Amino acid sequence: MQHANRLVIELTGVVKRYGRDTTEPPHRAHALEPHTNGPTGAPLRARALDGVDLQVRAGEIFGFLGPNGAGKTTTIRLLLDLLRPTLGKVRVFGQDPRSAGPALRRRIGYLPGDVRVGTRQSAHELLTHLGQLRGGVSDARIRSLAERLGLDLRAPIRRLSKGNRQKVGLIQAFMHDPELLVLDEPTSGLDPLLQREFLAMVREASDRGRTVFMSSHVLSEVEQVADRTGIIRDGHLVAVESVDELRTRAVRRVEVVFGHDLPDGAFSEVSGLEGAEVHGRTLRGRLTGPADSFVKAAARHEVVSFLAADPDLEELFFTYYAERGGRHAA
Amino acid sequence: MLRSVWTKTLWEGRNGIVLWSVALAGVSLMYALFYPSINQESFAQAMESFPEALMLAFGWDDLTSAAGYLGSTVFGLLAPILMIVFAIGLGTRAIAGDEEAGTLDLLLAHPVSRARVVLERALALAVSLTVATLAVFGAIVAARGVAELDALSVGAIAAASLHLLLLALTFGTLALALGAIGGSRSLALSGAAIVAVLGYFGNTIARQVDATRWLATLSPFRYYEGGAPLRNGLQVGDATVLLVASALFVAVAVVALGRRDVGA
Repeated sequence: MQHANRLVIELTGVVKRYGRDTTEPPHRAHALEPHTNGPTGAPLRARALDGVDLQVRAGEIFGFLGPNGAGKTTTIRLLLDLLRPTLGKVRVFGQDPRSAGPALRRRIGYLPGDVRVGTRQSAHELLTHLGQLRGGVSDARIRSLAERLGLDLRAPIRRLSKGNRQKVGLIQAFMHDPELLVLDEPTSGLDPLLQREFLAMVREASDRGRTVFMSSHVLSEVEQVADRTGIIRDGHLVAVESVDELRTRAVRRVEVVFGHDLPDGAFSEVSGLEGAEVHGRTLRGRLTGPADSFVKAAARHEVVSFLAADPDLEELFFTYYAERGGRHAA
Repeated sequence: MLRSVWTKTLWEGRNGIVLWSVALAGVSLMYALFYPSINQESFAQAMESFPEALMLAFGWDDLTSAAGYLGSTVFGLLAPILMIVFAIGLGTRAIAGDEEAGTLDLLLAHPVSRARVVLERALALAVSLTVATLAVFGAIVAARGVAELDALSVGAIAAASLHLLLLALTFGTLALALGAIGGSRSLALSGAAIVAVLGYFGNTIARQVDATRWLATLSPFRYYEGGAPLRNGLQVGDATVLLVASALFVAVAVVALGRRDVGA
């Protein structure tokens, strides 16, 4: 990786406001801060991004995490010049998406958050057309990706299910092997097997030196591939962390059933375990950070079952807010 | 068919183009074949009993000549209405419809400029309308021999057809421009339809009164039929006005779409 330190994506002080437009799609509308009135009494325009600074380096897999409506899609659409920033600077490969235009987009593969292609044509027809717009993508390439994801290319797109449309979206994003993949909620609608296939495709792209920027509201899927993650909420980038750091912060609900009743206060002194409650033979609590001391404490007893849930993103955000003295507390 | 945006647009719209062309050809043929039954002494006498203002308003002042008949039926009312409806539909879909459906997003994320998308969609609009116009032209030329319409030259029919094409193109590009400005289907559709209705009645009513005659110069219909192309052949000045207006609307669309957020 000779360009390891080159920045592929660079956002500096990016603010994005949408007009007070009633035609605003609801998925974005609920994302916005409540309307507040300015000094003149006129409602201020809703703010989707409020001063975001972000850097993604070449060859990196960057996970962009946040609840629905936090500003993930807005950020992604800024990279493709579908939206323009109200304030601040957006750079992709060091270029302004607006002035660099088509030449810059040639180097990007984009998966929209909602793949919509409402035509009678077949998936093969659409993918061939989109390939032509990129200067031609070989038919073999399209077919091998379709085979890999299990997509019937002859089916008319209009009749495809959400999952199959997502496959069409993924194929068109990957088919020209772009230097940068910008993927908005890539796994939504895919079954677990295909999610795994997708993550493999991301890893392969990364191995070829490609940069991947993917958004998600599910921590576990980002955790599996990403090198670093940015966490966004209400238009603020709350934190940028390596996945390892994130993992140590993640809060997991745990539930352990033991073979016998537990003595009072058996787990009260275990580090990382909060809110431990014992009901007969069952222990419930929230585990943060390394699980080591908890597992060793549990191992002293007979364990019948052990459950650690997927880390909850909302709880993760909460730990960041608590740390910051509730500056953005919702 | 899949190499560029405009051929793809045409390919996707092929069913509509065929249907509208068949409908336009059918209507034109029907009216043209009806002419022999009107081209009779008794009909001319009956027409004399109608009030003159009404005759003028509907352009029925010369219903029994071949040019007068086709000018007030096919070219006076039905073909322009159908062509304008077809054109506004296509113009609305070109940008605003595509944007509201969420499909413009994916296209613009590809290495095509917004200007190119507008220009290619306008080209597809022009080609679609040309096909539909050729259907009208072909139907009337075909009926000419059998329906006692040979007083009309093929050149005159071609001139009237060209004016028809340019009229439809004006409203189609207007809808396209409104869609590029607002990104709203309903705005583009209703905006262009309102201009069409006002333009039509503005032209027919305003020209009957000296004081308001200048108002008719604002109406696209004035440049469509004001010079009576079916009688007088191609009106170069009028045709140029419609062509320039269309080009202007396309230019507005390019600038408007280039400046704003897409799908926001």
